[in-house]
Amino acid sequence: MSLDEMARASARRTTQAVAAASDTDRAFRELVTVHRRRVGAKVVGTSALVLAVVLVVVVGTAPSRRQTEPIAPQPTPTKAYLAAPPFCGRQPTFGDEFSQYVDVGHACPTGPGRYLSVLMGIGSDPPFTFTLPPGWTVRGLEGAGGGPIMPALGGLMLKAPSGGRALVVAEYPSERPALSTDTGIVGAPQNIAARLATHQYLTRTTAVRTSLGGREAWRVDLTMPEETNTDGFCVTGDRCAVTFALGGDDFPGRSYLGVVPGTPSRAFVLNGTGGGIPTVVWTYGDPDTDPALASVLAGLDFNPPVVPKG
Amino acid sequence: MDVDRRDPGLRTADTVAEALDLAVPTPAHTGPSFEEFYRREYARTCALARVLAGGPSSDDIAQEAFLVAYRRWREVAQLTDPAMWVRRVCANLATSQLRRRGIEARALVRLSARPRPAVALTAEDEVFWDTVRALPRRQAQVVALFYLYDLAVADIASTLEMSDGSVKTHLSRARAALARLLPAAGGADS
Repeated sequence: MSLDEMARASARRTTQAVAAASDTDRAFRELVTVHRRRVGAKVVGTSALVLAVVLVVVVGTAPSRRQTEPIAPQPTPTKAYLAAPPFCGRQPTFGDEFSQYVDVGHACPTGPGRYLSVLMGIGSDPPFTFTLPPGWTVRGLEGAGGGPIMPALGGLMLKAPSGGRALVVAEYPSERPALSTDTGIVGAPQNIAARLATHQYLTRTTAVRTSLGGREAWRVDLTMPEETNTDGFCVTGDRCAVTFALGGDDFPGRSYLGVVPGTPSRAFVLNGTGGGIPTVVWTYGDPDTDPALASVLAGLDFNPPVVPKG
Repeated sequence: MDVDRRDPGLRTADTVAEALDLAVPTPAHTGPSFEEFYRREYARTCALARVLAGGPSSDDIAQEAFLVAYRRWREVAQLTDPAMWVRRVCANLATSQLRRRGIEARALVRLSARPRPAVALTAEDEVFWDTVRALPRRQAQVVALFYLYDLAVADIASTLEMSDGSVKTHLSRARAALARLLPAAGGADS
């Protein structure tokens, strides 16, 4: 049999097999569902909450040019939350639908207060709220990835005015081991925490089941001596211990979150924050000895009320 | 290891969003024309994803290509050949490591909740397509479109946005490689 004959026969059989196994009706329903879920979960599904928030933000200050009838519940007159990045400070490239309700170009509020995050990154739909203490700032963390580098989807960093203390809430950055298992529980929070708890270069605790912000979570405390020679690149800088390798064996030095020498970290991997991607909450500093950090941690709420309370 | 922040391998979130096609879309049409198009093209697009990507997530790759078309149906429907556009998206998704991983990650999460068997092929066909997948990306795409869709060189060139000459070169090299790698093949035809 010639190569062409073999190829054409194989193509014919493959087409027939796939066609026989295809359930187009189900697939189409699924497509519509997925489309609605993606748009709805990120945009419409949070409309009651988001529109209330953005309308509070906008309507309270917007000129009368916005005369269109609102398509969401009327906002409460009380400004319950401030909009967290990316819906402040810069023009978002996703979530453009919000631009008709909110002046996305307004200066990002970085003062103290109660914030709401509606789109932390691009792969999950928390939303969650947090409290920023006086002097602290909040900024969005861009994702990283491309080519052989696994995508990290972004998050938020709440940063203390001094001392290198911070709290990061991020969507779990994918890593190769999580994708290569056949267990069916890929990237399960307990597995992620368990891997952290066996990090060979760090002093670490065992993974403990706990709760954070109203969600089930697994906690691991991680430290590394100041004198440790590290060569990783993390979101916090270029001197860190890699914890979530983005590039597997090919790029061992890249990590979205890592442990900084001399700065203890407490990691929480949360379950059920939506989008199928676990959320990681990561401290730079010890909440047990840092009251401000502890208060920020305690102020996280992953089950915010649908309608902001006054 | 000294890692440069400017390394082109590290892109911004926006680029990642684009690469993973996770950007929040513009509203899509829901009219019957897309549905007709979908029903007509779905199985063959799944076949294209199956041969280029393999594995149980190939349906999701095809689905992802249609999702892109669904979201942009206003524009896609205006194209001379919307099916060609979807084939291109599917072929690129199926052979792009980063994009595929994103789709696979989501597919694995979904599959863990709702098992869906992969389409079973004969051992002979699996070997053939495994070998095709081992070819360089463009060669694999050209072979899949040539044999699976029975497309002419000019149509493949339009689909993959390359010249006719490039398609011929890729096809020729692919055939030579396949003939070498597949003992059962008697040789490459002209």
